[in-house]
Amino acid sequence: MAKKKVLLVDDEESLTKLIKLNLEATGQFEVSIENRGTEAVKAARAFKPDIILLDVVMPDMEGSEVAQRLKEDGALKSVPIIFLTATVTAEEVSQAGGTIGGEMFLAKPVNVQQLVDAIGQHVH
Amino acid sequence: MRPVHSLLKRQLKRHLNVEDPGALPPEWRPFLESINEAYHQSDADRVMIERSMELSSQELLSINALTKERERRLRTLLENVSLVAVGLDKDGRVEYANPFYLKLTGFSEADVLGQPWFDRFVVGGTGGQTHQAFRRIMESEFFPQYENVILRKDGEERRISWNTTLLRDEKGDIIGTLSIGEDITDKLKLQQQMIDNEKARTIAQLAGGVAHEVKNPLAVLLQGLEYFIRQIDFGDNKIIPAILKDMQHAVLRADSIIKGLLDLSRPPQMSLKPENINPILENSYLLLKNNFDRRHIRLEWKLDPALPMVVVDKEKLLQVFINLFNNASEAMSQGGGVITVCTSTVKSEGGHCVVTVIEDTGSGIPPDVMSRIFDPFFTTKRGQGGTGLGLPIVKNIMQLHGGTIEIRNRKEGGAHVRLEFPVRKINQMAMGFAEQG
Ligand SMILES: Nc1ncnc2c1ncn2[C@@H]1O[C@H](COP(=O)(O)OP(=O)(O)OP(=O)(O)O)[C@@H](O)[C@H]1O
Ligand SMILES: [Mg+2]
Repeated sequence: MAKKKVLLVDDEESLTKLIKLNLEATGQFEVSIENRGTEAVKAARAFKPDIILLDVVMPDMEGSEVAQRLKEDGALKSVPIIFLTATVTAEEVSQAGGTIGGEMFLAKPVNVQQLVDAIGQHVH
Repeated sequence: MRPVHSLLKRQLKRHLNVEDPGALPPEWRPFLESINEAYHQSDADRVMIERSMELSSQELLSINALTKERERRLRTLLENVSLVAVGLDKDGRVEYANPFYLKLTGFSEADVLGQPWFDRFVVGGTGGQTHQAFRRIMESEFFPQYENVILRKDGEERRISWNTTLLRDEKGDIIGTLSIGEDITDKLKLQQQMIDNEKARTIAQLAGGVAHEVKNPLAVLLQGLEYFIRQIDFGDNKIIPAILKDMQHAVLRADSIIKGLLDLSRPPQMSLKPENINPILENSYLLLKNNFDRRHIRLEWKLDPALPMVVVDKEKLLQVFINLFNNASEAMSQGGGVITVCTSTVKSEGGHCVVTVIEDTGSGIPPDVMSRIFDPFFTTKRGQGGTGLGLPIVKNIMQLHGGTIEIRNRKEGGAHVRLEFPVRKINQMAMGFAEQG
Protein backbone atom coordinates (compact mmCIF):
# COMPACT_ATOMS: atom_id res chain seq x y z
CA MET A 1 0.00 0.00 0.00
CA ALA A 2 1.32 3.42 -0.95
CA LYS A 3 2.31 5.71 1.84
CA LYS A 4 -0.05 8.61 2.53
CA LYS A 5 1.54 11.96 1.91
CA VAL A 6 1.13 14.43 4.79
CA LEU A 7 2.09 18.11 4.58
CA LEU A 8 2.72 19.54 8.03
CA VAL A 9 2.51 23.35 8.32
CA ASP A 10 3.50 24.68 11.74
CA ASP A 11 5.96 27.36 12.85
CA GLU A 12 7.19 25.29 15.81
CA GLU A 13 10.20 23.62 14.20
CA SER A 14 10.98 21.10 16.90
CA LEU A 15 7.36 19.98 16.95
CA THR A 16 7.22 19.44 13.19
CA LYS A 17 10.45 17.42 13.27
CA LEU A 18 9.13 15.15 15.99
CA ILE A 19 5.71 14.64 14.42
CA LYS A 20 7.44 13.74 11.15
CA LEU A 21 9.65 11.24 12.99
CA ASN A 22 6.70 9.68 14.79
CA LEU A 23 4.37 9.49 11.81
CA GLU A 24 7.02 8.09 9.49
CA ALA A 25 8.01 5.55 12.10
CA THR A 26 4.57 3.97 11.77
CA GLY A 27 5.50 3.09 8.19
CA GLN A 28 2.21 4.50 6.86
CA PHE A 29 3.17 8.06 6.00
CA GLU A 30 5.52 10.27 4.07
CA VAL A 31 5.70 13.67 5.79
CA SER A 32 6.89 16.99 4.41
CA ILE A 33 7.42 20.02 6.66
CA GLU A 34 6.78 23.70 6.05
CA ASN A 35 7.44 26.13 8.91
CA ARG A 36 6.20 29.31 7.21
CA GLY A 37 2.52 29.90 6.59
CA THR A 38 3.32 32.14 3.62
CA GLU A 39 5.12 29.29 1.86
CA ALA A 40 2.44 26.68 2.50
CA VAL A 41 0.69 26.93 -0.87
CA LYS A 42 3.97 26.66 -2.78
CA ALA A 43 5.03 23.68 -0.66
CA ALA A 44 1.67 21.99 -1.24
CA ARG A 45 1.86 22.48 -4.99
CA ALA A 46 5.30 20.90 -5.03
CA PHE A 47 4.58 18.02 -2.65
CA LYS A 48 1.01 17.16 -3.71
CA PRO A 49 -0.09 15.91 -0.27
CA ASP A 50 -3.06 13.63 0.45
CA ILE A 51 -3.80 15.66 3.56
CA ILE A 52 -2.54 18.86 5.21
CA LEU A 53 -2.01 19.36 8.95
CA LEU A 54 -2.18 23.11 9.52
CA ASP A 55 -1.34 25.13 12.65
CA VAL A 56 -3.91 27.82 13.47
CA VAL A 57 -1.66 30.45 15.06
CA MET A 58 1.50 31.24 13.12
CA PRO A 59 3.45 34.51 13.21
CA ASP A 60 3.65 35.24 9.50
CA MET A 61 0.19 34.09 8.40
CA GLU A 62 -2.82 32.76 10.26
CA GLY A 63 -3.80 29.16 9.54
CA SER A 64 -7.25 30.28 8.43
CA GLU A 65 -5.76 32.48 5.75
CA VAL A 66 -3.44 29.73 4.59
CA ALA A 67 -6.47 27.44 4.31
CA GLN A 68 -8.31 30.09 2.31
CA ARG A 69 -5.48 30.25 -0.21
CA LEU A 70 -5.21 26.48 -0.43
CA LYS A 71 -8.92 26.28 -1.23
CA GLU A 72 -8.60 28.92 -3.93
CA ASP A 73 -6.01 26.80 -5.69
CA GLY A 74 -7.67 24.52 -8.26
CA ALA A 75 -5.23 21.65 -7.75
CA LEU A 76 -5.32 21.81 -3.96
CA LYS A 77 -8.89 22.68 -3.09
CA SER A 78 -9.96 19.07 -2.60
CA VAL A 79 -7.08 18.21 -0.25
CA PRO A 80 -8.49 17.76 3.28
CA ILE A 81 -7.10 20.06 5.96
CA ILE A 82 -6.91 19.29 9.65
CA PHE A 83 -6.26 22.32 11.86
CA LEU A 84 -3.94 21.94 14.83
CA THR A 85 -4.98 24.29 17.61
CA ALA A 86 -3.60 25.21 21.00
CA THR A 87 -6.46 27.44 22.10
CA VAL A 88 -9.31 24.98 21.87
CA THR A 89 -9.41 22.05 24.26
CA ALA A 90 -9.59 18.46 23.09
CA GLU A 91 -12.91 18.14 24.90
CA GLU A 92 -14.42 21.06 23.08
CA VAL A 93 -13.25 19.62 19.77
CA SER A 94 -14.72 16.20 20.47
CA GLN A 95 -17.95 17.71 21.82
CA ALA A 96 -18.25 19.56 18.53
CA GLY A 97 -17.77 16.25 16.67
CA GLY A 98 -14.25 17.09 15.55
CA THR A 99 -15.29 20.04 13.43
CA ILE A 100 -15.79 23.69 14.26
CA GLY A 101 -17.50 25.81 11.64
CA GLY A 102 -17.19 22.94 9.18
CA GLU A 103 -13.42 22.61 9.69
CA MET A 104 -11.65 19.63 11.23
CA PHE A 105 -9.66 20.29 14.35
CA LEU A 106 -7.15 18.52 16.53
CA ALA A 107 -6.24 20.02 19.89
CA LYS A 108 -2.58 20.25 20.84
CA PRO A 109 -0.89 18.43 22.41
CA VAL A 110 -1.83 15.43 20.27
CA ASN A 111 -0.40 11.98 20.59
CA VAL A 112 0.63 9.83 17.68
CA GLN A 113 -2.43 7.60 17.76
CA GLN A 114 -4.78 10.58 17.60
CA LEU A 115 -2.93 11.88 14.55
CA VAL A 116 -3.00 8.50 12.83
CA ASP A 117 -6.73 8.10 13.56
CA ALA A 118 -7.61 11.59 12.36
CA ILE A 119 -5.67 11.21 9.13
CA GLY A 120 -7.18 7.76 8.59
CA GLN A 121 -10.67 9.24 8.80
CA HIS A 122 -10.07 11.53 5.87
CA VAL A 123 -7.64 9.67 3.63
CA HIS A 124 -8.43 6.16 2.51
CA MET B 1 -42.66 117.35 95.11
CA ARG B 2 -44.27 114.22 93.71
CA PRO B 3 -47.83 113.49 94.69
CA VAL B 4 -48.09 111.81 98.04
CA HIS B 5 -47.90 108.06 97.58
CA SER B 6 -51.10 106.29 98.58
CA LEU B 7 -49.26 104.07 101.09
CA LEU B 8 -47.71 107.15 102.82
CA LYS B 9 -51.13 108.78 102.96
CA ARG B 10 -52.60 105.73 104.59
CA GLN B 11 -49.85 105.56 107.20
CA LEU B 12 -50.08 109.32 108.07
CA LYS B 13 -53.76 108.86 108.62
CA ARG B 14 -53.42 105.73 110.72
CA HIS B 15 -50.52 106.83 112.97
CA LEU B 16 -50.82 110.66 113.15
CA ASN B 17 -54.42 111.15 112.14
CA VAL B 18 -53.64 113.77 109.49
CA GLU B 19 -55.13 113.91 105.97
CA ASP B 20 -52.81 116.56 104.60
CA PRO B 21 -49.04 116.34 105.17
CA GLY B 22 -48.93 120.14 104.78
CA ALA B 23 -50.52 120.32 108.24
CA LEU B 24 -47.42 118.75 109.80
CA PRO B 25 -44.48 120.74 111.17
CA PRO B 26 -42.24 122.07 108.36
CA GLU B 27 -39.04 120.47 109.81
CA TRP B 28 -40.63 117.02 108.97
CA ARG B 29 -40.90 117.83 105.33
CA PRO B 30 -37.51 116.58 103.99
CA PHE B 31 -38.02 113.35 105.93
CA LEU B 32 -41.54 112.84 104.50
CA GLU B 33 -40.34 113.65 101.00
CA SER B 34 -37.58 111.08 101.03
CA ILE B 35 -40.02 108.43 102.34
CA ASN B 36 -42.47 109.39 99.61
CA GLU B 37 -39.62 109.13 97.06
CA ALA B 38 -38.67 105.69 98.37
CA TYR B 39 -42.25 104.43 97.95
CA HIS B 40 -42.40 105.66 94.39
CA GLN B 41 -38.99 104.21 93.63
CA SER B 42 -39.97 100.80 94.94
CA ASP B 43 -43.10 100.95 92.81
CA ALA B 44 -40.99 101.59 89.74
CA ASP B 45 -38.61 98.76 90.65
CA ARG B 46 -41.49 96.36 91.11
CA VAL B 47 -42.93 97.21 87.71
CA MET B 48 -39.55 96.68 86.15
CA ILE B 49 -39.03 93.35 87.82
CA GLU B 50 -42.47 92.22 86.88
CA ARG B 51 -41.93 93.27 83.28
CA SER B 52 -38.66 91.53 82.95
CA MET B 53 -40.05 88.41 84.57
CA GLU B 54 -42.90 88.44 82.16
CA LEU B 55 -40.52 88.88 79.28
CA SER B 56 -38.19 86.09 80.27
CA SER B 57 -40.99 83.66 80.79
CA GLN B 58 -42.24 84.43 77.30
CA GLU B 59 -38.75 83.86 75.99
CA LEU B 60 -38.47 80.62 77.90
CA LEU B 61 -41.71 79.48 76.40
CA SER B 62 -40.58 80.24 72.89
CA ILE B 63 -37.18 78.61 73.41
CA ASN B 64 -38.94 75.57 74.68
CA ALA B 65 -41.18 75.55 71.62
CA LEU B 66 -38.13 75.87 69.44
CA THR B 67 -36.43 72.92 71.07
CA LYS B 68 -39.54 70.88 70.72
CA GLU B 69 -39.78 71.81 67.07
CA ARG B 70 -36.14 70.90 66.51
CA GLU B 71 -36.64 67.61 68.27
CA ARG B 72 -39.73 66.94 66.23
CA ARG B 73 -37.89 67.64 63.00
CA LEU B 74 -34.95 65.46 63.97
CA ARG B 75 -37.33 62.69 64.86
CA THR B 76 -39.25 62.99 61.59
CA LEU B 77 -35.95 62.86 59.80
CA LEU B 78 -34.82 59.77 61.68
CA GLU B 79 -38.20 58.13 61.17
CA ASN B 80 -38.24 58.68 57.44
CA VAL B 81 -34.68 58.44 56.13
CA SER B 82 -33.37 55.36 54.37
CA LEU B 83 -30.59 55.30 56.89
CA VAL B 84 -30.24 53.22 60.00
CA ALA B 85 -30.38 55.23 63.21
CA VAL B 86 -29.66 53.74 66.61
CA GLY B 87 -29.37 55.48 69.96
CA LEU B 88 -27.45 53.82 72.77
CA ASP B 89 -27.19 54.70 76.43
CA LYS B 90 -23.88 54.92 78.27
CA ASP B 91 -23.76 51.15 78.73
CA GLY B 92 -24.43 50.38 75.10
CA ARG B 93 -28.09 49.47 75.55
CA VAL B 94 -30.53 50.38 72.79
CA GLU B 95 -32.61 53.44 73.65
CA TYR B 96 -33.82 54.24 70.17
CA ALA B 97 -34.01 52.41 66.86
CA ASN B 98 -35.57 54.03 63.84
CA PRO B 99 -38.19 52.40 61.56
CA PHE B 100 -35.65 51.87 58.78
CA TYR B 101 -33.48 49.81 61.11
CA LEU B 102 -36.51 47.78 62.18
CA LYS B 103 -37.54 47.21 58.57
CA LEU B 104 -34.04 46.27 57.49
CA THR B 105 -33.49 43.79 60.27
CA GLY B 106 -36.99 42.43 60.79
CA PHE B 107 -36.82 43.14 64.54
CA SER B 108 -39.67 44.84 66.37
CA GLU B 109 -39.09 47.74 68.76
CA ALA B 110 -39.78 45.39 71.65
CA ASP B 111 -37.04 43.06 70.41
CA VAL B 112 -34.37 45.74 70.61
CA LEU B 113 -35.22 48.42 73.19
CA GLY B 114 -33.19 48.05 76.36
CA GLN B 115 -31.12 45.24 74.88
CA PRO B 116 -27.32 45.26 74.89
CA TRP B 117 -26.55 46.38 71.33
CA PHE B 118 -23.10 44.88 70.87
CA ASP B 119 -23.97 41.53 72.43
CA ARG B 120 -27.14 40.96 70.50
CA PHE B 121 -27.07 42.78 67.20
CA VAL B 122 -23.48 43.20 66.06
CA VAL B 123 -21.25 40.55 64.51
CA GLY B 124 -18.15 40.30 66.67
CA GLY B 125 -20.22 41.21 69.75
CA THR B 126 -18.99 42.67 73.02
CA GLY B 127 -15.25 43.20 72.94
CA GLY B 128 -15.38 43.21 69.17
CA GLN B 129 -13.92 46.02 67.13
CA THR B 130 -17.08 48.09 67.08
CA HIS B 131 -17.58 47.78 70.78
CA GLN B 132 -14.09 49.13 71.24
CA ALA B 133 -14.87 52.00 68.90
CA PHE B 134 -17.92 52.76 71.05
CA ARG B 135 -15.80 52.83 74.17
CA ARG B 136 -13.31 55.12 72.47
CA ILE B 137 -16.11 57.47 71.53
CA MET B 138 -17.42 57.52 75.10
CA GLU B 139 -14.00 58.01 76.65
CA SER B 140 -12.17 60.34 74.35
CA GLU B 141 -15.09 62.03 72.64
CA PHE B 142 -13.50 61.18 69.35
CA PHE B 143 -15.97 60.41 66.59
CA PRO B 144 -14.53 57.95 64.15
CA GLN B 145 -16.47 56.91 61.12
CA TYR B 146 -16.48 53.14 61.09
CA GLU B 147 -18.07 50.09 59.51
CA ASN B 148 -19.44 47.00 61.10
CA VAL B 149 -21.71 44.10 60.33
CA ILE B 150 -25.10 43.90 61.99
CA LEU B 151 -27.39 40.91 62.20
CA ARG B 152 -30.90 40.65 60.90
CA LYS B 153 -33.48 38.69 62.80
CA ASP B 154 -33.13 35.84 60.26
CA GLY B 155 -29.36 35.77 60.83
CA GLU B 156 -28.43 37.47 57.59
CA GLU B 157 -25.60 39.97 57.85
CA ARG B 158 -25.64 43.57 56.61
CA ARG B 159 -22.59 45.81 56.47
CA ILE B 160 -23.21 49.34 57.77
CA SER B 161 -21.09 52.45 57.54
CA TRP B 162 -21.71 54.49 60.71
CA ASN B 163 -21.41 58.11 61.82
CA THR B 164 -21.70 58.57 65.55
CA THR B 165 -22.29 61.56 67.75
CA LEU B 166 -22.37 61.94 71.54
CA LEU B 167 -25.56 62.79 73.38
CA ARG B 168 -25.36 65.01 76.51
CA ASP B 169 -27.81 66.08 79.17
CA GLU B 170 -28.44 69.74 80.23
CA LYS B 171 -25.45 69.70 82.50
CA GLY B 172 -23.27 68.65 79.58
CA ASP B 173 -22.66 65.15 80.86
CA ILE B 174 -22.46 62.37 78.28
CA ILE B 175 -25.53 60.15 78.37
CA GLY B 176 -25.08 58.04 75.27
CA THR B 177 -24.58 58.04 71.52
CA LEU B 178 -26.68 58.46 68.43
CA SER B 179 -25.40 56.67 65.32
CA ILE B 180 -26.61 57.03 61.78
CA GLY B 181 -25.52 54.44 59.28
CA GLU B 182 -25.79 53.54 55.63
CA ASP B 183 -26.41 49.96 54.55
CA ILE B 184 -23.54 49.42 52.13
CA THR B 185 -23.99 45.66 51.67
CA ASP B 186 -25.38 45.87 48.14
CA LYS B 187 -22.95 48.57 47.09
CA LEU B 188 -20.05 46.37 48.17
CA LYS B 189 -21.56 43.36 46.42
CA LEU B 190 -21.81 45.36 43.22
CA GLN B 191 -18.23 46.52 43.58
CA GLN B 192 -17.13 42.94 44.17
CA GLN B 193 -19.06 41.85 41.10
CA MET B 194 -17.35 44.49 39.02
CA ILE B 195 -13.97 43.37 40.32
CA ASP B 196 -14.93 39.76 39.55
CA ASN B 197 -15.98 40.64 36.01
CA GLU B 198 -12.76 42.51 35.49
CA LYS B 199 -10.83 39.52 36.80
CA ALA B 200 -12.75 37.18 34.52
CA ARG B 201 -11.95 39.33 31.50
CA THR B 202 -8.28 39.41 32.38
CA ILE B 203 -8.24 35.66 32.83
CA ALA B 204 -9.92 35.16 29.46
CA GLN B 205 -7.30 37.31 27.78
CA LEU B 206 -4.50 35.57 29.58
CA ALA B 207 -5.88 32.13 28.95
CA GLY B 208 -5.73 32.34 25.18
CA GLY B 209 -2.18 33.65 25.24
CA VAL B 210 -0.93 31.21 27.86
CA ALA B 211 -2.63 28.28 26.15
CA HIS B 212 -0.87 28.97 22.91
CA GLU B 213 2.53 29.59 24.47
CA VAL B 214 2.37 26.58 26.75
CA LYS B 215 0.62 24.01 24.62
CA ASN B 216 3.20 24.12 21.85
CA PRO B 217 6.10 23.22 24.14
CA LEU B 218 3.87 20.57 25.73
CA ALA B 219 3.17 19.16 22.28
CA VAL B 220 6.92 18.99 21.60
CA LEU B 221 7.49 17.18 24.90
CA LEU B 222 4.68 14.74 24.25
CA GLN B 223 5.81 13.91 20.75
CA GLY B 224 9.41 13.52 21.90
CA LEU B 225 8.49 11.22 24.76
CA GLU B 226 6.30 9.19 22.49
CA TYR B 227 9.15 8.81 20.05
CA PHE B 228 11.39 7.40 22.78
CA ILE B 229 8.72 5.07 24.08
CA ARG B 230 7.77 3.74 20.66
CA GLN B 231 11.10 3.59 18.93
CA ILE B 232 13.70 2.70 21.50
CA ASP B 233 14.22 -0.82 22.76
CA PHE B 234 15.17 -0.52 26.41
CA GLY B 235 15.73 -4.24 26.79
CA ASP B 236 15.60 -5.27 30.45
CA ASN B 237 15.77 -1.73 31.68
CA LYS B 238 12.46 -1.08 33.44
CA ILE B 239 13.48 2.24 34.95
CA ILE B 240 13.73 4.32 31.79
CA PRO B 241 10.28 3.41 30.41
CA ALA B 242 8.79 4.14 33.85
CA ILE B 243 10.46 7.54 33.94
CA LEU B 244 9.21 8.30 30.44
CA LYS B 245 5.67 7.36 31.44
CA ASP B 246 5.90 9.65 34.47
CA MET B 247 7.08 12.45 32.23
CA GLN B 248 4.16 11.82 29.90
CA HIS B 249 1.76 12.07 32.83
CA ALA B 250 3.35 15.30 33.99
CA VAL B 251 2.85 16.79 30.53
CA LEU B 252 -0.79 15.72 30.48
CA ARG B 253 -1.29 17.23 33.91
CA ALA B 254 0.12 20.53 32.77
CA ASP B 255 -2.19 20.30 29.79
CA SER B 256 -5.19 19.76 32.02
CA ILE B 257 -4.35 22.93 33.94
CA ILE B 258 -4.38 24.87 30.70
CA LYS B 259 -7.66 23.19 29.88
CA GLY B 260 -9.12 24.37 33.19
CA LEU B 261 -7.92 27.86 32.47
CA LEU B 262 -9.52 27.81 29.03
CA ASP B 263 -12.76 26.44 30.48
CA LEU B 264 -12.80 29.30 32.94
CA SER B 265 -12.36 31.86 30.22
CA ARG B 266 -14.99 30.51 27.85
CA PRO B 267 -18.05 32.59 27.17
CA PRO B 268 -20.88 30.75 28.83
CA GLN B 269 -22.78 28.38 26.61
CA MET B 270 -25.60 27.45 28.86
CA SER B 271 -28.33 25.02 28.18
CA LEU B 272 -30.91 26.07 30.72
CA LYS B 273 -33.85 23.90 31.71
CA PRO B 274 -36.12 23.71 34.73
CA GLU B 275 -34.58 21.04 36.94
CA ASN B 276 -34.89 19.61 40.40
CA ILE B 277 -31.59 20.07 42.23
CA ASN B 278 -31.94 16.90 44.34
CA PRO B 279 -31.28 14.29 41.62
CA ILE B 280 -28.41 16.38 40.24
CA LEU B 281 -26.81 16.23 43.69
CA GLU B 282 -27.36 12.48 43.88
CA ASN B 283 -25.91 11.93 40.40
CA SER B 284 -22.82 13.95 41.25
CA TYR B 285 -22.29 11.71 44.24
CA LEU B 286 -22.74 8.54 42.18
CA LEU B 287 -19.84 9.61 39.98
CA LEU B 288 -17.61 9.81 43.05
CA LYS B 289 -19.09 7.00 45.14
CA ASN B 290 -16.42 4.35 44.48
CA ASN B 291 -13.67 6.71 45.42
CA PHE B 292 -15.55 7.94 48.52
CA ASP B 293 -16.37 4.41 49.70
CA ARG B 294 -12.72 3.46 49.56
CA ARG B 295 -11.87 6.46 51.70
CA HIS B 296 -14.67 5.92 54.24
CA ILE B 297 -16.45 9.08 53.25
CA ARG B 298 -20.17 8.84 53.89
CA LEU B 299 -22.92 11.14 52.68
CA GLU B 300 -25.84 12.18 54.81
CA TRP B 301 -28.82 13.43 52.82
CA LYS B 302 -31.33 15.98 54.06
CA LEU B 303 -33.11 16.70 50.81
CA ASP B 304 -36.37 18.60 50.77
CA PRO B 305 -38.77 16.41 48.75
CA ALA B 306 -40.94 19.42 47.89
CA LEU B 307 -38.14 21.44 46.32
CA PRO B 308 -39.33 23.78 43.55
CA MET B 309 -37.68 23.56 40.12
CA VAL B 310 -34.93 25.99 39.24
CA VAL B 311 -33.72 26.95 35.79
CA VAL B 312 -30.19 25.61 35.47
CA ASP B 313 -27.64 23.98 33.21
CA LYS B 314 -27.54 20.44 34.57
CA GLU B 315 -24.07 19.60 33.27
CA LYS B 316 -22.59 22.75 34.75
CA LEU B 317 -24.25 22.04 38.10
CA LEU B 318 -22.83 18.53 38.11
CA GLN B 319 -19.43 20.15 37.85
CA VAL B 320 -20.24 22.52 40.72
CA PHE B 321 -21.27 19.70 43.03
CA ILE B 322 -18.39 17.43 42.01
CA ASN B 323 -15.87 20.22 42.68
CA LEU B 324 -17.43 20.88 46.09
CA PHE B 325 -17.68 17.19 47.03
CA ASN B 326 -14.05 16.76 46.00
CA ASN B 327 -12.97 19.72 48.12
CA ALA B 328 -14.89 18.30 51.08
CA SER B 329 -13.38 14.84 50.67
CA GLU B 330 -9.88 16.23 50.17
CA ALA B 331 -10.20 18.06 53.49
CA MET B 332 -10.81 14.78 55.35
CA SER B 333 -8.07 12.85 57.07
CA GLN B 334 -7.28 9.16 56.48
CA GLY B 335 -10.12 8.11 58.73
CA GLY B 336 -12.75 9.53 56.39
CA GLY B 337 -15.74 11.56 57.48
CA VAL B 338 -19.25 12.72 56.72
CA ILE B 339 -20.52 15.11 54.07
CA THR B 340 -24.00 16.45 54.84
CA VAL B 341 -26.08 17.66 51.92
CA CYS B 342 -29.16 19.69 52.70
CA THR B 343 -31.62 21.33 50.31
CA SER B 344 -34.41 23.75 51.22
CA THR B 345 -36.40 26.73 50.04
CA VAL B 346 -36.14 30.16 51.61
CA LYS B 347 -37.89 33.44 50.97
CA SER B 348 -35.64 36.10 49.55
CA GLU B 349 -36.01 39.68 48.34
CA GLY B 350 -37.25 38.93 44.86
CA GLY B 351 -39.20 35.75 45.59
CA HIS B 352 -37.84 32.37 46.61
CA CYS B 353 -34.44 30.74 46.59
CA VAL B 354 -33.46 27.10 46.53
CA VAL B 355 -30.65 26.66 49.01
CA THR B 356 -28.13 23.83 48.93
CA VAL B 357 -25.81 23.45 51.88
CA ILE B 358 -22.82 21.09 51.74
CA GLU B 359 -21.07 20.60 55.06
CA ASP B 360 -18.08 18.43 55.82
CA THR B 361 -16.24 17.14 58.85
CA GLY B 362 -12.85 17.94 57.33
CA SER B 363 -10.09 20.32 58.35
CA GLY B 364 -12.00 23.51 57.57
CA ILE B 365 -10.37 26.43 55.82
CA PRO B 366 -7.45 28.15 57.54
CA PRO B 367 -8.70 31.68 58.37
CA ASP B 368 -5.69 33.35 56.77
CA VAL B 369 -6.48 31.88 53.35
CA MET B 370 -10.25 32.36 53.54
CA SER B 371 -10.20 35.53 51.44
CA ARG B 372 -8.26 33.86 48.64
CA ILE B 373 -10.02 30.55 48.08
CA PHE B 374 -11.95 31.89 45.08
CA ASP B 375 -8.81 33.23 43.39
CA PRO B 376 -7.79 31.29 40.29
CA PHE B 377 -4.78 29.05 41.02
CA PHE B 378 -5.00 29.52 44.74
CA THR B 379 -4.52 26.11 46.31
CA THR B 380 -3.19 24.66 49.54
CA LYS B 381 -2.79 21.32 47.75
CA ARG B 382 0.08 22.23 45.50
CA GLY B 383 2.04 19.10 44.68
CA GLN B 384 -0.95 16.93 45.64
CA GLY B 385 -2.97 17.43 42.50
CA GLY B 386 -4.63 20.75 43.34
CA THR B 387 -4.81 23.29 40.54
CA GLY B 388 -6.77 25.93 42.44
CA LEU B 389 -9.37 26.24 39.73
CA GLY B 390 -12.16 24.28 41.45
CA LEU B 391 -13.79 27.12 43.36
CA PRO B 392 -13.29 29.84 40.71
CA ILE B 393 -15.13 27.58 38.27
CA VAL B 394 -17.88 26.96 40.84
CA LYS B 395 -18.27 30.69 41.48
CA ASN B 396 -18.35 31.39 37.77
CA ILE B 397 -21.11 28.86 37.20
CA MET B 398 -23.13 30.13 40.16
CA GLN B 399 -22.94 33.67 38.78
CA LEU B 400 -24.08 32.45 35.37
CA HIS B 401 -27.18 31.11 37.13
CA GLY B 402 -27.79 34.36 38.97
CA GLY B 403 -26.97 32.44 42.12
CA THR B 404 -24.51 32.92 44.95
CA ILE B 405 -21.98 30.87 46.89
CA GLU B 406 -20.76 31.46 50.43
CA ILE B 407 -18.18 29.45 52.27
CA ARG B 408 -17.40 29.59 55.95
CA ASN B 409 -16.10 27.33 58.66
CA ARG B 410 -18.44 25.50 61.00
CA LYS B 411 -18.12 26.05 64.73
CA GLU B 412 -17.81 22.28 65.13
CA GLY B 413 -15.01 22.18 62.54
CA GLY B 414 -15.15 21.53 58.84
CA ALA B 415 -16.43 23.72 56.05
CA HIS B 416 -19.95 24.98 55.31
CA VAL B 417 -20.79 25.79 51.71
CA ARG B 418 -24.07 27.52 50.92
CA LEU B 419 -25.39 27.82 47.38
CA GLU B 420 -28.46 29.88 46.50
CA PHE B 421 -30.39 29.56 43.25
CA PRO B 422 -33.16 32.03 42.49
CA VAL B 423 -36.49 30.41 41.70
CA ARG B 424 -37.69 32.37 38.71
CA LYS B 425 -41.27 32.81 37.73
CA ILE B 426 -42.52 30.91 34.72
CA ASN B 427 -42.54 33.99 32.46
CA GLN B 428 -39.01 34.86 33.47
CA MET B 429 -38.10 31.31 32.58
CA ALA B 430 -39.63 31.74 29.16
CA MET B 431 -37.62 34.89 28.72
CA GLY B 432 -34.49 33.02 29.75
CA PHE B 433 -35.15 30.44 27.04
CA ALA B 434 -35.82 33.12 24.46
CA GLU B 435 -32.43 34.67 25.28
CA GLN B 436 -30.85 31.29 24.82
CA GLY B 437 -32.28 31.19 21.30
N1 LIG C 1 -14.30 21.89 52.04
C1 LIG C 1 -13.09 22.44 52.22
N2 LIG C 1 -12.42 22.24 53.38
C2 LIG C 1 -11.20 22.80 53.58
N3 LIG C 1 -10.57 23.60 52.68
C3 LIG C 1 -11.18 23.85 51.52
C4 LIG C 1 -12.47 23.30 51.21
N4 LIG C 1 -12.82 23.74 49.99
C5 LIG C 1 -11.81 24.51 49.54
N5 LIG C 1 -10.82 24.58 50.44
C6 LIG C 1 -9.58 25.37 50.34
O1 LIG C 1 -9.70 26.22 49.21
C7 LIG C 1 -8.62 26.01 48.30
C8 LIG C 1 -9.09 26.27 46.89
O2 LIG C 1 -10.06 25.30 46.50
P1 LIG C 1 -10.22 24.96 44.97
O3 LIG C 1 -11.27 23.92 44.82
O4 LIG C 1 -10.39 26.22 44.21
O5 LIG C 1 -8.81 24.39 44.55
P2 LIG C 1 -8.15 22.99 44.96
O6 LIG C 1 -9.17 22.08 45.55
O7 LIG C 1 -6.93 23.28 45.75
O8 LIG C 1 -7.70 22.46 43.53
P3 LIG C 1 -8.66 21.83 42.38
O9 LIG C 1 -10.07 21.96 42.83
O10 LIG C 1 -8.38 22.68 41.18
O11 LIG C 1 -8.19 20.44 42.24
C9 LIG C 1 -8.17 24.59 48.57
O12 LIG C 1 -6.82 24.39 48.19
C10 LIG C 1 -8.38 24.48 50.08
O13 LIG C 1 -7.31 25.05 50.79
MG1 LIG D 1 -11.00 21.73 44.56
